[in-house]
Amino acid sequence: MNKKFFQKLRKEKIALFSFIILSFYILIALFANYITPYNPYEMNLSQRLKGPSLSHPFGFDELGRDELSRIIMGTRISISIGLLVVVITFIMGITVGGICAYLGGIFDEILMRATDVLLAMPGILLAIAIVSFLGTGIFNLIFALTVMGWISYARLIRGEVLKIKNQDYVLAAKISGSKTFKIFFRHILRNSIDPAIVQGVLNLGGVIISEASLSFLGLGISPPTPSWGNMLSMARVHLFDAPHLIIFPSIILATLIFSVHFLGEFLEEMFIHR
Amino acid sequence: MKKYLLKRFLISIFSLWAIFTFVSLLIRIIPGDPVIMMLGEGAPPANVKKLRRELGLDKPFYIQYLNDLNGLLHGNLKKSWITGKDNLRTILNRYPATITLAFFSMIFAILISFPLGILGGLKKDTLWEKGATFISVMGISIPHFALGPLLILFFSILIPIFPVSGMGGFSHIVLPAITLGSGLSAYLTKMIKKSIQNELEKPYVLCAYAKGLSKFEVIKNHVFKNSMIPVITLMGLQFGVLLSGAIITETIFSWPGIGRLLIRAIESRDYPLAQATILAISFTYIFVTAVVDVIYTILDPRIKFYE
Repeated sequence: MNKKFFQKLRKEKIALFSFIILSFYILIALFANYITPYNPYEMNLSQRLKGPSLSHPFGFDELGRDELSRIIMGTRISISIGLLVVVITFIMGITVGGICAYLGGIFDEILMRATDVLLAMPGILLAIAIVSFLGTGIFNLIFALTVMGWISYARLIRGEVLKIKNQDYVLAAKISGSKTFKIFFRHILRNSIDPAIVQGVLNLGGVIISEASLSFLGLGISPPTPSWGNMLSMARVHLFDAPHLIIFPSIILATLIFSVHFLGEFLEEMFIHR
Repeated sequence: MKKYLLKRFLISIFSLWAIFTFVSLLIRIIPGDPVIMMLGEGAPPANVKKLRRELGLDKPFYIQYLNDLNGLLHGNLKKSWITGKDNLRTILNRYPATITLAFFSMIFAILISFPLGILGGLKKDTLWEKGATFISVMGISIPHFALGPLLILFFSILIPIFPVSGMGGFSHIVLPAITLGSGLSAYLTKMIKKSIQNELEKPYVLCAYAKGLSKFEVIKNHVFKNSMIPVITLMGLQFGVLLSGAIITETIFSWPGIGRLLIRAIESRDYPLAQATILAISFTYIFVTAVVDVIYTILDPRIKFYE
């Protein structure tokens, strides 16, 4: 499959480009500690709000910290929270959603009503509600995004499981005496997981935006820890005197979301509409 | 049909009740004592006691819950503990601003997405389609909180055409509407394009051509009408999303709507007002979603009635 993936990737220019950008950002996130040119927390008030220069290509922020270093650290935080939330919600969603759908009956009904209720709150309002009462902090932020995030996987896997749970090979496994959970994990999950994987890639962008939105509103990562959201929030105050503070993080954020989106679409094309 | 409508109604009521319960529980998840959190450490014990009684937090939880539920059924959303004003009235005062913003964002999204989506859908595998895809992805990729400040930077500061923030004449609404509508126009463009492409492949189109209709007539009378059904549904559903997306846009542009009210309430630890606002936004959303669902079944009677 890997070979096929790269062969196809080479043909689709935009997807290839997206793949490269995403890998690049992930590498930055991994090695953030080693590649920041300056200390992202070190303040130098005489340099505050100074624009880009050769030694500081992205300029300085409102406390005279090197903007490039802060963006690199912010990349690490945004991407790690994004990946963590996607992995947690993915596992939670496919386990809960898949098992409920496979068992059917009352379990399926409970799943559907529970997700109905969670979906009845629009967008990130649920996360805002949780974080604003629970308090800010990385753990609470991840919790709030998780409560909201698992639903899409659960619903998706439910549809797939309902489609295949009565197929002959499942019946055959049942007749030959396999245990319910073994059948579920071995036979059903393996054949219904592809759409959820694609959803996971697409969701990465959504989670990163949600995290940045909450941080932007002052409900996520709190300063001095840099995150794209709280950097943009600070930059808003200095639109007149330091436009570079808004432009650079926006470009970085947009290119990341952009590449996640195109990569997701490519995977969708490859796995689902094959 | 009647059975479906009844079921849809019951589900909405159930969701409303569940959201209410969730919002009531929120005050319980505050780490520590909510009254101390609101007044700050070291507040005089008399004040703490008074506020606790005012908020009804001295009673057991189930009594508070039942009281609140009773209040809600009588249209009482409690009072803000900072201003002492009735929460429902505050929210109703703020609502028109949010509705106006959502409405103009919708208009902006329609103006962008219909031409793009239709062109992209009709001219498959051409530059038009690529352009439509590209623009719609750009709309998805640039989140509100980046687009808003960028628009202010370019169109209020570098080229001063529109005011930076606040509410006033028509010029005040242009930038917020573009900010809020960008995501929606992206989704709509994608949806319209896909929907038209799907319809074009259906056999009835071939039949219409075989009857001798011109391309224009086929598209105008048959393809367009049929492809609009999912698009209208999406527009309705997204109107609810606009209401929640307004939270960020209103914060950026200091737009005096319900989203900014929520953020203000959270910042000042005005928990009753925050609870009331969250309830109000969710209730609107549930209401809009239910109405859209019903309209959808009327527009397209073939859809399966709720599993």
